[in-house]
Amino acid sequence: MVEQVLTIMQFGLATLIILAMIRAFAGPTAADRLVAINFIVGQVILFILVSSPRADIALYIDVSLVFVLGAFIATIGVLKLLEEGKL
Amino acid sequence: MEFFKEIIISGLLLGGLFFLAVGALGLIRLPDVFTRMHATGKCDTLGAGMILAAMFLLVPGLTDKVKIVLMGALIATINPVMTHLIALVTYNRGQPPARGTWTLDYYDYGKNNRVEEIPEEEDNRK
Repeated sequence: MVEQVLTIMQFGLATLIILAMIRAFAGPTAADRLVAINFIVGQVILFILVSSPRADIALYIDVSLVFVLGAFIATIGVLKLLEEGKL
Repeated sequence: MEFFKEIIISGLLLGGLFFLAVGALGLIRLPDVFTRMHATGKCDTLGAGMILAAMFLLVPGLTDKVKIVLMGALIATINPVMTHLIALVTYNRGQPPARGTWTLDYYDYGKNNRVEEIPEEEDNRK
């Protein structure tokens, strides 16, 4: 039963990433795009994590942990660029 | 016993997907950046926490469980801080909220201001 649910999770998370990409492309301001990209990063982390038991590769959990550690640097960089006008 | 564990794992996974779907719906449908942030900031943290709890029950081995707990702690701290920072920078840049919003001015407490129609040349939302 868990295998079917994990398949549903993969399709669902991919759908949510595509829905959030609509906002990332169409968002009227830079802050909208930033919120959408932040959301997409969280979905990608969960997608990698959910793929781990189905592909039977435990290394995906490490990949997802490193993704968590590095994913928010870009947001801080863009925020500093918006606040000060330079990096 | 194994059956009940599978039931719990499936429920947590599908519940997390439901909350993430609510967050994505808010991200698409709501009118301005502050309300979109309000939708995604909370739903993302809760949904990610539920899916991480399910994965904690699913994976074998202590090492992977510890990694997932660490990941949950990092998401639960970084995600609200990021949302707060985006809101702070957006507010400090003077980007107005959607029309019709009641705001409490940061520099003038106790006075309710309503965002009125903005003239086209002063609209710096673009």
